[in-house]
Amino acid sequence: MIHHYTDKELIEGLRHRNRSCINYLYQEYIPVIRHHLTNNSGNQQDVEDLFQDAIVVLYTRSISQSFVLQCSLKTFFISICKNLWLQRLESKCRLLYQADYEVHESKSEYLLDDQWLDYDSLEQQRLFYKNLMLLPNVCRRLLQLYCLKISCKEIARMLKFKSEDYVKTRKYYCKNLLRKKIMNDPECQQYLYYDGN
Amino acid sequence: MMETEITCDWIDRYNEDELDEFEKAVFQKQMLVNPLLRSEVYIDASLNRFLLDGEIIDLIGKVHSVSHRNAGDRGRMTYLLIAASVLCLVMIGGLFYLLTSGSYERNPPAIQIESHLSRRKADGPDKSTGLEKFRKPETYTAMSRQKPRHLSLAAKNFQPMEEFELLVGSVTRSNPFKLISPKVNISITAGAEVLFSWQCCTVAEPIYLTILNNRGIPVLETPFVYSCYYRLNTKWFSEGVYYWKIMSDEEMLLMGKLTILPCIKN
Repeated sequence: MIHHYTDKELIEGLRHRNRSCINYLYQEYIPVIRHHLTNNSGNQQDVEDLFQDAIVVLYTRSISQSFVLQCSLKTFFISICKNLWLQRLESKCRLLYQADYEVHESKSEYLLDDQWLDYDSLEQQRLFYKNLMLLPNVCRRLLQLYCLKISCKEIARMLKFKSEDYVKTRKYYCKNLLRKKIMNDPECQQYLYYDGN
Repeated sequence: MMETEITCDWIDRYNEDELDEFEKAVFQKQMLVNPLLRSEVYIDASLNRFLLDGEIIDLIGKVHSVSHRNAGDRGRMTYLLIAASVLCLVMIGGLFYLLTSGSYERNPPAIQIESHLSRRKADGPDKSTGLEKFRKPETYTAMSRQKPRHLSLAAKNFQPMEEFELLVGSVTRSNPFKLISPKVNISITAGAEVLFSWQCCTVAEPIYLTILNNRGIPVLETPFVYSCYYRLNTKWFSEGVYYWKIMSDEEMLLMGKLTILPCIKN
């Protein structure tokens, strides 16, 4: 029997990254997203990507102190999806347009007002996650532990490495491996030759 | 100064601010002229930010697993639908086949019998080389392969056919064909086997049997028989009156009557 969640329960569940809440959101909202995207030049993969991005946005919003839901969660979620998809379409056009470097326009002109809806950073997260999952399990854990500022001694103990130096060497190796995977990923080509800050 | 080699770990150390002043100056100078290094440094910095946010990674992982599981369910459902559709088509096809073959057996088209007989004629003996050159017919009519249809009205099946009654036991050829068994008019119980045997020396060409029901419709044609006997299995025959014809080279040698009586069950 399917348990029906209220909007409040869903927000609370999402704050705790509850899998059954995510599953409920998926089953309830995916048909609407699919319908919207198939009518606006999207495919099944776009539907999955957009759902993931919208969940990340909703999660980020839900954990902020200022978040107050002023409409139904479904309306809010679908509006996030629609805005993200609009950005995605504009980003596609922008990329085509940027093929001529001499005449490209400022990216800021295309950004929407909502600070939470940064499609590029969401896409980047998605690509990084995809490539992170391609790494061996030990590498993945090592990088995550290292970035959480856990000491090399502790990491060596947790991952059963023989020394702290080996943790550092292995970390350089894993990071380099991940970077190379990202650099060779065709979807990540837009981040190469980046001239930003 | 350019002799200093920039290794992969410099990118990490640059982003973690672990390079000394000299290394930093060399690295920044190199970055100015090398866009690939610049983008690698940018990706590394973005990666550090991404890896720092363990909660987002966990959330993305859960979303992935949810969508994979649902996609798997969808895939399974699609396969089930396809399998169900195929099964339905097979069932409809089977039903259609049964219906059409049933109607065919009930009213076998005469033209098909004729064409079969003419084919048999065309496959006839090579006079120059004798009997050994007979080819077995490649195909037989559906009647020889399929069960004779059981008629619902048993009494109707036992009404003799006047025209054939006159011919029972008559030899319609000058050739002295000698039948050993069975008698020209026999009655058997349903499912019993009837042994047709004859003197081989009285037959110059291979023979075949045609069984007709009491309405004169052929229900079975045997292949060419090269030996001197043929066992007729009546397992698939419904009760009633039948007439058999022993044929050779498109000529009837002998005609007989076969009555299949119902089995008496205790």
